[in-house]
Amino acid sequence: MSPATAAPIVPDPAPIPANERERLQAVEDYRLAGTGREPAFDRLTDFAAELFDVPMALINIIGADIQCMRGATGVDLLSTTRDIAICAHTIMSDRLLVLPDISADQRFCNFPHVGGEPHLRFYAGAPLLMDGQFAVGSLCLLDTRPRAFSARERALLERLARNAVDVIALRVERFAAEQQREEVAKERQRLSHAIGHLAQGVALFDRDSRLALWNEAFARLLGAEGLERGAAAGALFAPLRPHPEAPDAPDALAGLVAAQSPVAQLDLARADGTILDARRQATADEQFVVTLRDVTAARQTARLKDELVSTVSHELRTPLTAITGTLELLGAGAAGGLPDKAGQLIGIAAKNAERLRMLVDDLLDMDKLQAGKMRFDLARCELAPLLREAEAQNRFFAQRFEVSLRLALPEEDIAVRADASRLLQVLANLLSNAAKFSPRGGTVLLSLEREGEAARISVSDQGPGVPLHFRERLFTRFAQAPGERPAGHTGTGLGLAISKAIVEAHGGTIALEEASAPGDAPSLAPRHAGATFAVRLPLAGPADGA
Amino acid sequence: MPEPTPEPIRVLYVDDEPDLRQIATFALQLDPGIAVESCASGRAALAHAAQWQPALILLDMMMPDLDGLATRRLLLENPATAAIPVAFVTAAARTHERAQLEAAGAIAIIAKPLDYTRLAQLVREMLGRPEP
Repeated sequence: MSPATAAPIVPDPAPIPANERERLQAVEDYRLAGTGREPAFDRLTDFAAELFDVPMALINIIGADIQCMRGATGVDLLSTTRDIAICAHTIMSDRLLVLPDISADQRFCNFPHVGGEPHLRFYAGAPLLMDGQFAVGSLCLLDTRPRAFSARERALLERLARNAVDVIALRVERFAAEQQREEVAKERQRLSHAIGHLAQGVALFDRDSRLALWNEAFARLLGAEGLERGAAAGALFAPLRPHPEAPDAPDALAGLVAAQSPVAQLDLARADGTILDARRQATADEQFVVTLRDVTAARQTARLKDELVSTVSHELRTPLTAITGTLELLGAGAAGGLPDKAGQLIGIAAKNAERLRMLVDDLLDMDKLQAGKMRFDLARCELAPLLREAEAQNRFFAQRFEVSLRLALPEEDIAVRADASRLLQVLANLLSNAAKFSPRGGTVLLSLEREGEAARISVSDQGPGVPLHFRERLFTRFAQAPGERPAGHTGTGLGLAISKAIVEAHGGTIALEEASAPGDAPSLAPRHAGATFAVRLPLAGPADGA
Repeated sequence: MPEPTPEPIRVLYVDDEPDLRQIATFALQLDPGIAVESCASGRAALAHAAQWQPALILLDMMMPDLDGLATRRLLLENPATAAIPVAFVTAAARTHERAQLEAAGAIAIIAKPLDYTRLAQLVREMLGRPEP
């Protein structure tokens, strides 16, 4: 080895702070890792160089084995290894490191920028302490001449370093906000992409009922060109008409687009006849979503079905009416007296025609009830006159079974809110059942009483009662007590199911009330325990009018 | 000297169904005090009622062309028929039309199916003319 050859300078490894792992994490967290300048940092170093009258100033960030000049004045270098970084020593304490003449310091005199170009002589660095404990780097001043650094200058450099820390912290908040904005935008894009491909129209309205978000299908179904954010819901829906037109429909339309409203569903018709199913769903933050669906075809099918049912009803009933009418008149001697056998045969034909007619009526009622299409014209309804009417209407039918009807009415007026004709239908069903199952010469009791906030109408007979095993199915469709068909029985098995649906549509209940269980336990039960059907309906309130 | 036979009660029955017309006619003829004639359409009823001047028109609701309500309106427009009482005959299931029918000024709304054996009696009750 030639003595003329200078030994290669191998610097000592840089010292490592005790909290190095957390410190490096802070470098990451404050987004200081990596190389490259940042204008905000450059402005700080420009200011520092000017203030302290030095040719060079740096904001150096110390990574695991690198120092990066993220802000620099008078230096082109972007980074060096950590082992030749004076700043790597600055971060070892929370105080300034001031070297009036670097060449006099054994630790640094052999560093390439000290021993070689540009022959640095002066260094003053302040650690950049994030969160008061993680020194991510330093703000340092450099000069090629040795110089003194006064106490006032030290204080100024410390203050400037604290400003740099503030800039770093603010800058990271800005990053976070930017990231959040990007995420929101992305989320929004994903969402609008998702709803954009729905066949259903979807729109979000804010709490002032203004359009906030919508998809293409919404604009298309609404028939609106160029929807704009903030458009008032009322104006958007104004060209639509509730379908079908009903007296309360304008209110419903207003309700659909009001910020707070109980309206949840409405059919709307466009001027071109398209029918839209509009649904409104409130969100947790008082906004609401309106969805639109083209239901023109579905509603048309439903209408056709209704028309079919109505037609079938009419077409079936008319010939049946003709048959029953003819047979009734023949039986009543309209064509002169009949031989006994002819009279009996006519009686059989009449009974069966009547049964067929009832079956058609019940099937049509059941169809309506199941489709929720049965209309109830609710009005205040005094029950005593209604029960008298029911008694009068069913008296003749009961007489066929040699059964008499008895009314028990209270002195007080009891009124409910009901569709009188439907209640009469229920009572007719209960009374005819009671008559059919009564023994000859028996009495069916139709009574009314007040029971708390309810009206209780009951129909009691003296028949065999309802067998235990049959009670569960009593109110289900096509349920008929097996083996208990009395003579002249013309039931369809739908009557009680229809009655139950009608009573429940009035907010009431219908139940079999029977003390004992005849049939299943004949030894325990009296032979004629009878059955009592009770209908309970909520009393009409004062608001229901007179 | 026997009392003069009272003038029979004239009832016009209007229904597009020929069989039902015939049955109703038979049913009303069970009462010798009732004279029945029938029409197959609202249009025919307008002309016949003006000329025959019945005491009561039994008007079916569901008819092609002029339905019961439309017929009733036209009957009211003609001074010759405006005063003739009308009872609507309608399917029991369509009772939700009751209010509309009542507004049309019918003296009664009779639910189908009719009880033909009691139809004549019902007509007398509606007109307040009991059997002598």
